[in-house]
Amino acid sequence: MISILGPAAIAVAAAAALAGIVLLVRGRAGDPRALEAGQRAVLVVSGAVTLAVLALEIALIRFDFSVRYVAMNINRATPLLFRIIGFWGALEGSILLWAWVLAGYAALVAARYRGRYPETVPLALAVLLGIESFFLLLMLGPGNPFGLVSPVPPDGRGLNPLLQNHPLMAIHPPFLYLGYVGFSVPFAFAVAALLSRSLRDEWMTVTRRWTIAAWSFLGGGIVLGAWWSYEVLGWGGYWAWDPVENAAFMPWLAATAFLHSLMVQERRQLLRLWNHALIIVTFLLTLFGTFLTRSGILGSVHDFTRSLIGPIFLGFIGAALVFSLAVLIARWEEVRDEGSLPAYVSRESLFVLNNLLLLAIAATTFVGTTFPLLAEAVAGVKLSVGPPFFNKLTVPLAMLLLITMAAGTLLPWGPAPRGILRRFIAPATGGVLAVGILWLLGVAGSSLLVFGVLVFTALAQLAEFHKGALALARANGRSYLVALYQLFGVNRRRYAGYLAYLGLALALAGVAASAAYRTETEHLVQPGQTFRVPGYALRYEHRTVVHNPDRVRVAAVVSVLPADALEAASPTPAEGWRPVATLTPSEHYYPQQRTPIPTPAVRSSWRGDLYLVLLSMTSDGAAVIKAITNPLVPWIWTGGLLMALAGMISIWPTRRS
Amino acid sequence: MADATVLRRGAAATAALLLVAVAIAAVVLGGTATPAAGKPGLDEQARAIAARLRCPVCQNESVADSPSELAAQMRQLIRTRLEQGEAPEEIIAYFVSRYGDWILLDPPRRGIGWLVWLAPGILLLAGIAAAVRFLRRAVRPGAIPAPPRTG
Repeated sequence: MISILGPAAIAVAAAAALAGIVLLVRGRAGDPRALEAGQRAVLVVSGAVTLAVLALEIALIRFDFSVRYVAMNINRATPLLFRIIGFWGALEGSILLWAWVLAGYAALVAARYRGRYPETVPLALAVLLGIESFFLLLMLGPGNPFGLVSPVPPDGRGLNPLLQNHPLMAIHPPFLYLGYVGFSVPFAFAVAALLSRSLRDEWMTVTRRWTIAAWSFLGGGIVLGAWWSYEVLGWGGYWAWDPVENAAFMPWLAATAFLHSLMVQERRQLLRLWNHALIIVTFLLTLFGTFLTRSGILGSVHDFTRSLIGPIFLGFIGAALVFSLAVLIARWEEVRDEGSLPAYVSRESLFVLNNLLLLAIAATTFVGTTFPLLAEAVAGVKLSVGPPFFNKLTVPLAMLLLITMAAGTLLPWGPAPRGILRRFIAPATGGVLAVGILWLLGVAGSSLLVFGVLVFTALAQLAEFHKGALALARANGRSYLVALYQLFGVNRRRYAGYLAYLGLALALAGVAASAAYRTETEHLVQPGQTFRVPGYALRYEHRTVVHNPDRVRVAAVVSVLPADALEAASPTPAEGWRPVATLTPSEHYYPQQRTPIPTPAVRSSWRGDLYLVLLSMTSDGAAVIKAITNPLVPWIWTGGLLMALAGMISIWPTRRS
Repeated sequence: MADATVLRRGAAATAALLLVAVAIAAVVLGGTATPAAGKPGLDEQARAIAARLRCPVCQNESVADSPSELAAQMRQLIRTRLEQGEAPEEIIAYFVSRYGDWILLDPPRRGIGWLVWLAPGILLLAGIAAAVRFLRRAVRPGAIPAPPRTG
């Protein structure tokens, strides 16, 4: 039943999408009935794709192993939650998720802009349906998630154990895809505005909410992914410059640049070509990211051609690039700048600089990510590009970026008034003071500079909040804290921007501290034995073994002893100290996996994490435990999610509008 | 004159807030920083070397971070060689001679490897040139009244 319902729904969706493109283009040319039908086609597409998603979910939930995708990705022991999210556990399901999210966005666009911008919106919807058709046709061809397997196996292969170890896996991919796919909306409007010669300086304002929502989802998705990696993979890190991570990072960088440069166009009618180029690049990077993570090209360049999906995907990216360039060239007069800037020293110029740096980081990431693939495919040379390369090149760029962000906050739009440098005094003094104090505390080398820049950037934002709150409190007689909150009502967009910068500074402080001052030690301990790691006294109590239907869990129960135990000359009398916390790093044995999957145990405080990994356990109960202390890591999650929250605040409707 | 008082009070509050913020930042960052002060020991050196090498049997993991058996052996080997007085560069050269340039996580600066190091710089220079050109063309002092809106 599923094997008929699923493909049928996708076929209906594909037919409706293709028909919708024709109807919408004809409708815009002046046929109101075609326009009406075209808009209905968008809804039919989203309904039909939703039906296909339901079909796949039913097959997954009911263990329908006659469907190949189900047999490959879950088994009888997979719990319900992980059967549901098994939907996006592999390639074909991810393609369906893309199509589903895009269809949803298209339906929202159709509903929201009904009757508005009649010149542009039908074309934008047609572009969205064009992208949608690609994914639907891919599923009717080699990317079919409903393919059958015969004979029907008694049990499935099971989800990759790494993917069913943590509930973060349930929210990280949807966030990422809501972000990726969301950029299709501003892209579609950019193309439609050019084609229809309308909304020349408004298309990015009209779609601003969509862009920021996508940016927040993508940023949130990246942070959740890093968090998942930290909580599950057991290496004590969160970012490895892995191509899969870079794939999400690059469109985020391009979109961040776009969010800045669109403000320059809104005010000055400048950077028209640049903004079109940026949203095109962002969109292409989201396709490229999906391609990179899902085509299997990363495993091996040669593996990649075994399935047709990879080459087809690459072909689509090329087609989208050619199409976008052709539209740009055909409407060249539309993207010529007419405005001007009143001064070199202005927020506008700093946003140009900030765009340059963001794109430089994105380009470095792109070069580093694709170089090993190109070197192998073209020259037959096997080379690796990893963290040492990326860190060396991107950290200086990121520092410059932070300085331009701080300066962009302190400078106003337009020509800088006299005495503007006075605004820099407080944050810069703070940065220098911080460097001095840190130096006295023993921090040395480049970390000193990094922390100085971070403190400067954060203080520049805080100074703006402070200045605004003081002025508002004086104006309406409310208290300082109320005024601080009300600032978001006065100018939501501006203060949300400052909040996002503040989040970035917080997150990067966590990155810098944990990169420079992490410690790592390994301990072979007997039950009841006490051991020390920097800042903590620990006691290994005993081992536990739990049999679950889908796995066996072997854990070491470790007590964190109070700080007194750390200071005591000898913490050996094990009974003397009452533990303040218990951590249970563990190993999970899955039937479908030969080697156990370690699951770390983390104790977090605002100062940092204690991170324990169980490396091995002998039959007599002795354990080998890796202990990592990782300063300020929770700041990364806090700062990153603060940025996503700032995005949401900035698009929250104001009461007036 | 009331304005001046308010301004002064504002400045005092600003200074106080600034001091508090810096003090918090310094205590936090300083507190996390103290353990690693001083000369790098054997552990740090070994870790630094391992972080530059790719684990041969994993997908995209460094020898320092990989849980695999082979990576553990390689870490042990790095330690042993450091204890015997070998320089980090010698140890790295040893691994390159065994596994090829592929083992290096920062690609060697020779042959085709130069490309990956130079390309970002060339792109950055091109970007700087484009930005300078744009600003020189776009900036016309006094041509435009105050910006149409704030925010």
